[in-house]
Amino acid sequence: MPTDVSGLLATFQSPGAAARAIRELRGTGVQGIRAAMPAPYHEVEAALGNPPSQIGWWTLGGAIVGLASGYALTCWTSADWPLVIGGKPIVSPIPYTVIAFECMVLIGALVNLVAVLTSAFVGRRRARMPQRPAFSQNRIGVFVPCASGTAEGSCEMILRREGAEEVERAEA
Amino acid sequence: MSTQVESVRLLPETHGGALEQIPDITPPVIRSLGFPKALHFGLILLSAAAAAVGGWCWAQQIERGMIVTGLHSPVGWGVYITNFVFWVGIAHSGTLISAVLFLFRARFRTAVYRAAEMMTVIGVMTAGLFPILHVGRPWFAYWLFPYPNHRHLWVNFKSPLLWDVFAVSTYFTVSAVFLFIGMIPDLASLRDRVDGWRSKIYGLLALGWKNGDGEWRGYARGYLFFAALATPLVISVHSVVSWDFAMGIVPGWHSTLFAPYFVAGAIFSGVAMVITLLIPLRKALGLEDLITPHHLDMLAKVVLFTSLIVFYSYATEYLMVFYGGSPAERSTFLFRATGFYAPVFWTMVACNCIIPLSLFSKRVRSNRAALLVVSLLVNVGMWFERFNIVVTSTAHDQDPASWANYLPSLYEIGITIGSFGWFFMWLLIVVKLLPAISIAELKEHPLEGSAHAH
Repeated sequence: MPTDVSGLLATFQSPGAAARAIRELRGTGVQGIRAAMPAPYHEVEAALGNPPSQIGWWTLGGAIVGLASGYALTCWTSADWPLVIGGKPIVSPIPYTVIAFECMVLIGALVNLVAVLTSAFVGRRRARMPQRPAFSQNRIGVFVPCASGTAEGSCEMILRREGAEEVERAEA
Repeated sequence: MSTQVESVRLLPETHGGALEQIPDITPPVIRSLGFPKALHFGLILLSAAAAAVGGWCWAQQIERGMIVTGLHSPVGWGVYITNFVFWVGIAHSGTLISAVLFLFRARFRTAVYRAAEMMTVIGVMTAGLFPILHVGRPWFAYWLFPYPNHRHLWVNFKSPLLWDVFAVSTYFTVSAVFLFIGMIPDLASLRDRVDGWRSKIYGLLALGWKNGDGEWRGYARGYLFFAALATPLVISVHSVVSWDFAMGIVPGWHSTLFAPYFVAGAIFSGVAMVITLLIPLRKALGLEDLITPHHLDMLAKVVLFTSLIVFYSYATEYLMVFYGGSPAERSTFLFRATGFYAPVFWTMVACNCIIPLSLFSKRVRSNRAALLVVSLLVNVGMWFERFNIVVTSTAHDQDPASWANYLPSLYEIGITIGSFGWFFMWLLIVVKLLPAISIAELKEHPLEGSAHAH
């Protein structure tokens, strides 16, 4: 388990105010800021400056594997039971494209599901922050890890100036 | 109007287009859940009774064989396949509204897509029963799937019927996953708002979701890819269903028009069913502040647009047949419009082409009773359209010596009624257990969600 981090937890009413506070704090050199919010507000995500998710590559990989599996299944089973049907070639890639397409979507979607759930689990573990029920309702929580008392004071000032409803000391 | 007053209460304060306060959507959604009121409960019982009638008819069919149906040569596909195509079509709108409109950033979808997705999953569950019913020996339904066996036999992947098995089962899986993924943040929101065993169950279903930015980052990206995968899937599924017919050389079926025509028809019937369900449900669940007349108006416009495509397809089909040189095709199409099944054909034309034109009028679109009647008639028309395609072609194929008419037996009618009971029973149960509205998306785009209240 990651060790506990202490810092300031601020509660905001609006995504815009939370984003402004995060940007200003990052501008002063504070790192490791985390947020919790009831919906994916783009301005908050942009202010945090997190790198883009790599889920797309996993999904693409799943889709390619699915496509290849679809063709492999149809071609191999046709060759394994070589019965001419409707005068068509034993291995008929054109009709098999329908099956390959469906397999591509199916396996791509399932890999995407696993990737989303894994990413959420890893994201929770890596960027832990104090929990408040309001963060799943109508408030945005911003957690600022602060190393020293001096930094904490200036962080709190910025958070309050940008419209934090409440600022408290918390551990994540 | 009370709706507008309530909507204003839910609206967030905004400044220069920016969201100044996140609206608290969760309480009205919580109020929509829980034990149903008397009328809702009565409708669940009624639907369950209809489903039981269907189940009894099916049991009779299993015991006595397919002889209890009206199916006989040359009509091998009757109301079971009609119902299959109809329910797959109904199931189409959910993924259309949730995935396609998501990619096009059509924000009106936020308030309505969850109910449409639920309808999709239950619609596919209903559709999936019919091929199993139709094969006569449902305990051998697993033969439809490729699996290693001691006879070294494999399924025929060149057959459109096998394509259908893959398309429909993929559609069911992806739609169910899409519904579940979309619901995770909402379940977390409910978990934090209710207490006792309900909180525990919602917490379990939310899979530990904590709303952190690390979670949202992957979630938002993953949701986009789900939508990107589901969009071509929607088109492929009904194309594949249409190829069940179009790959055959039966007059009236063998047409390249079928795939786009079926996709448009599926969207048409599916969105009409969404309207049919949402008008009573928004009142029954107390969600009138969130699913506003604006949303119904937008859905009505989708129905109108797709009805024009369907109308155009019917006209094109007849033009191609009468301008082409195939006597068999011409005979079949004349038979449809003037023969034994002419009432089916003209009901279809009236319900799918003429009546939806009334949606050009804003007065009709904004009158809920009128909109409900139009959407119900579209559903009726689309069922008749499926019947018209499935039955008339084989009843009147190339060989005049084999022509014969088909009428469904009481058992088939009982199973058809049962399918409606099955569908409504699950839907009425599910909307009381799970949020029928996307809480997170309405918090993200509340202005679009309640635009009409302005």
